[in-house]
Amino acid sequence: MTGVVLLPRTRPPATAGEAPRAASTFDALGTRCRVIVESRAGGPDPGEAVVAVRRLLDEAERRLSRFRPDSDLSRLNAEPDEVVPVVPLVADALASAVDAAVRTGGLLDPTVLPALVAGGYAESRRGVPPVGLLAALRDAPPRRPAGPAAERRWADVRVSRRDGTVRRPPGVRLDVGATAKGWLADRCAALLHPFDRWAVDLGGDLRVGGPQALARPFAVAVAGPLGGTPVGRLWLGQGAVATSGVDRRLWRRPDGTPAHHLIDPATGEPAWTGLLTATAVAPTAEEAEAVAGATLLRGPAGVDRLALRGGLAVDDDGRVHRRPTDRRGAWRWSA
Amino acid sequence: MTDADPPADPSEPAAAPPAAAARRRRAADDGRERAAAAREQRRRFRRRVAWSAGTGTVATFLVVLAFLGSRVASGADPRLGPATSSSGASGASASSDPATAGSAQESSSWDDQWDDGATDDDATSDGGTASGSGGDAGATSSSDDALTTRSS
Repeated sequence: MTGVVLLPRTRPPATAGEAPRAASTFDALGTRCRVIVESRAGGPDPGEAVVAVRRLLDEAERRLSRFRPDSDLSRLNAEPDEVVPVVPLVADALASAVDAAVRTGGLLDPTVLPALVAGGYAESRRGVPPVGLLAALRDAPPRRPAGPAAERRWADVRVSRRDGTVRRPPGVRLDVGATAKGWLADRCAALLHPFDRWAVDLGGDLRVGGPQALARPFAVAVAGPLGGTPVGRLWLGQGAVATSGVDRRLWRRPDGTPAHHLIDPATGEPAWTGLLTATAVAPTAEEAEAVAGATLLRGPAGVDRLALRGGLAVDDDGRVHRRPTDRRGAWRWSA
Repeated sequence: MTDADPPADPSEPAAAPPAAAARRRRAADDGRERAAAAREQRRRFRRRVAWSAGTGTVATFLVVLAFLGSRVASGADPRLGPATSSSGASGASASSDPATAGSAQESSSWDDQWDDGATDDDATSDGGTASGSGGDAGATSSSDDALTTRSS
């Protein structure tokens, strides 16, 4: 057993308190964002990385917001031509949205924008307090799982990164709201890759990484839809977590019926599936966001799909369904 | 040779003088001894090789085991889970009885962090300037690193 005694431990002495560190909380993408970056002595400057992340998010909001008439996305949606040139950032964001539609069988449909606008979500709801969730649940239509649209308009959207163009049938308007934050969190991750320990929080879509994050994982609380105590807690050393829910952007239409931003592509109406929130863990934020959104749209019958990577869902009765219960690896549930 | 002499049998050697026969016997005995010695030498060599190979295999196994063990303790391998201890002393304690001490300590230190208010989702912000993290620099993250996932 001599080798056991002589071998040095691979973990260096704890010196995180001395490591260069930068953190920033700011508004972007219509939500609250946060970046934490730790470097090592003599390593790259974490402050510059935070600036680079903010620059990326600012550019993404400028180009991808559907609430800005001068954004690339708004101009694309107003364009009558079938093929429209786009910059690489927009092409990538749209490709991610179409990819999510493919992977979820059309549940996360980037072409439901007209239904979303017709339902009352034409303007940003940033800062607008949501209506009471319990009252909305009482007045909401009967629960049913969402389904893909029969027209499958998303299948006609072609994004060419090489040519820098988007081809879609005239009249089809696109939105990346269901996937952009996760995709952007992964873009931020690419910027933060050289650092020892880092985290990006884009309004609740989280991505963490760095070799030291495995030794000192981030504590992640899963907020409940009704507030109060978190419905779950986990330790995340590497990967992503995202939550989708009906509790945040919730409003009433002029006729008094409750509505929210998660559209059932099959009906074009807000999806009331029996789940209030769904949280998914995945290696990338893009995947976590897609899984969380699709789980919520599938309703309680789809919760078991979270077992592959891990996650939880809260149903209309407030019950928490955690999958799986004892996951270990780059993340684990807290007590 | 006369007519009365029987013909000589070519397969039967002619009778040798006693001294020559003794020399041949001694030579045969010497040959057998040398062969036995060579066999023994080969047997010893093979045994030595087998012992060396076996010892090397066991040593390699122990080195790999120690390496993986250190990675488990440091939490450096994503497939093996997060760190189980934050200091040398506690690390020694955990490794002394990995079946119980390690897991107990892990749960304890991680849950302690939640008790320290790690659920505060409006954690401090310093506007993008560099600052020290402070607090415990061990296996657990500091409370201002706490994150919250929520629908947005």
